[in-house]
Amino acid sequence: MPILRQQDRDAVKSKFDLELKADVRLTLYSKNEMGGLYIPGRECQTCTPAQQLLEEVCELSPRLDLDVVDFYADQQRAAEDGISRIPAIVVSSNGEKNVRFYGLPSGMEFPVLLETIVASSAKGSPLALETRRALKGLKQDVHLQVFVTPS
Amino acid sequence: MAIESDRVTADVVEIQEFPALAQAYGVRGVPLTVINDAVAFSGAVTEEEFLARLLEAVDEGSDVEEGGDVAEG
Repeated sequence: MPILRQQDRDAVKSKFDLELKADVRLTLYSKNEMGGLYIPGRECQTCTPAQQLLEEVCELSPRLDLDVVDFYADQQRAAEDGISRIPAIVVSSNGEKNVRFYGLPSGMEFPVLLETIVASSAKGSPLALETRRALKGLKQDVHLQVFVTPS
Repeated sequence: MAIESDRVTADVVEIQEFPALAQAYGVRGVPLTVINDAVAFSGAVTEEEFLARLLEAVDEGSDVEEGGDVAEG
């Protein structure tokens, strides 16, 4: 059974058709279910729905590509992307991977994911010129963490 | 902001799935924004205010973490 309702799929597809300017890759760090084998400490209740949601999203535009990585089998790659917990979604375009979602982006976080995908493809945001200039001039790395709930 | 600058990495963390992390940061309300573990503020703020907090965090970070792993040049 799909997660996205048909009317939502139609709306998202229209948005992507209109606004996606370049290819965007979604990398999902998840875990291999291993035939339902239960391993204590490796529970991930939202990994499967996260993968299904992203598969449904990526079906809506040829510009979107989903890469599913087994977090436990490919720790080196997870470390390279700075991933330490799952499920994690990395949004990247042209090799730049600066936005990560930890947890299932449901509820009010789903539109945030969509806007991040679109902004990533456009290589630009709706931020004011002054803000963009300040960001371009940063001399240090900045790590933003925004803690949210789904609703 | 993370899309505008290679220097910026943004994480969106769903706290119900990562309660230990939320507890570590003392999250009592959402959204809570934490910048470089130096500056935190809750609720929505204007873009101008957000930028001011970000620049404030960078200044604090340079004092606290001087000689960190940021490559110069």
